[in-house]
Amino acid sequence: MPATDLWPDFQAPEAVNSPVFLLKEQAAKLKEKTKGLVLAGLRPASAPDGSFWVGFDLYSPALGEYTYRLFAITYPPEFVPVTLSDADGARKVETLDQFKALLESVLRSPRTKQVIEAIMAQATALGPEESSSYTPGILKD
Amino acid sequence: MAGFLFWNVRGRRLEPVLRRLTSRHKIDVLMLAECTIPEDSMLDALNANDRESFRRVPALASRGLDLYSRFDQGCFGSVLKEADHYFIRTLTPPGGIEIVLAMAHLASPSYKDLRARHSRFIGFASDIRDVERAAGNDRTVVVGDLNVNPFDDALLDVRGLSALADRNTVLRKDPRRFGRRQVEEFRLFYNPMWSHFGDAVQPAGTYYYDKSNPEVDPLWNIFDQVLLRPSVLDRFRNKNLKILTTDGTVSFIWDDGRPNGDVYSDHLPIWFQLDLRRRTSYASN
Repeated sequence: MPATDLWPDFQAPEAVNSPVFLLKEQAAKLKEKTKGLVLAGLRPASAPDGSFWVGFDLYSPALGEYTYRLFAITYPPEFVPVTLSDADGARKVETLDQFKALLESVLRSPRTKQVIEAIMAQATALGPEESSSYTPGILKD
Repeated sequence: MAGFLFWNVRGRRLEPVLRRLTSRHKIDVLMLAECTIPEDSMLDALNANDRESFRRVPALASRGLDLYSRFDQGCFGSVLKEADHYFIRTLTPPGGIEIVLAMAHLASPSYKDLRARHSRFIGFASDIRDVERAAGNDRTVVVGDLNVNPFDDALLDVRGLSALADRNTVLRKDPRRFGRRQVEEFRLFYNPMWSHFGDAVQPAGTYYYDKSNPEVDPLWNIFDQVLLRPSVLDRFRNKNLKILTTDGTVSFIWDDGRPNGDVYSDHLPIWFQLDLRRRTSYASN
């Protein structure tokens, strides 16, 4: 007798429109735009209330264990609302479109640009390190 | 059994986590360091279940030391010694025996070198002895973020807390005596945290730090400790002490085992139980 299947059919994860997939896309774009000098690692964890927490960490293979936490987001399994926390504090948005707009403002901010250019300068000065083994995030692009 | 939990919460708002921990581990006495959670918010969380009856037990010590308990406030004696970094008072659970409870968050390595921290321990140990004399009770339990490791001199020095790793040795050697004509006696503590070092039982400690990068550094530390006088050892079993990494819903550690200080605390909580019931036959380890 076949085992009873009480589960519904699931949508493939790649097709799910969620905050973390938007972050993953931006991590890939960062690698492309900095020619691999600056990478972004997504560091997942559970938030105290059981919702998702993801840290967005900048690092460079040339800089060993150095990482810079650009921001972190928390969101429930329903994906919204999303709270983004960075040096400017915490901001909460109610929809994924609002999150996209907020993320764009953070990524395009003068502070983010300055931090990424500083990491690029530091990495260029110290030269590439092919064999760096440090991997700050498990969801690296 | 009386359940205790200590956690340096690093100023984080962890009310839901503390609610789950106190419920899951049947905590009677919740001890926190670096706590910035407002009393109302904490009590709302701890007493979310109608059956709970936590209340705050006031203390004046700083460094965010905070004490919440299911026990009636009358179970806690007045504070007998208090300093910036610790307070010492008696606790008599309902139907139980009186113990001396010393709760501490001692000076941080960020601000005081090891010699300075060692010096503080001399004063702390002296205050504990004073309280034991005043209370006529040496069933003393020290709990807190001591900011030194069990192997550091501050914890091994007989003029410090003199806390050893083996209970039989503690029972046999307490008090330690020095001198021939003028004999000095020093009381011992048992430090069960020694057994929690290393990776035989995860996690490898209560606190991980790799930022200062000195050449000699264990990286994993056990700053968060419980120390017991010989007279309470028959009330304690080693299996009733754990370094916690989850509240059953969320994990306080990263995948590699280090404390997730980004979301929770860079310290892990410690849970322990003491059998403080009045009785004639005691537990053995």
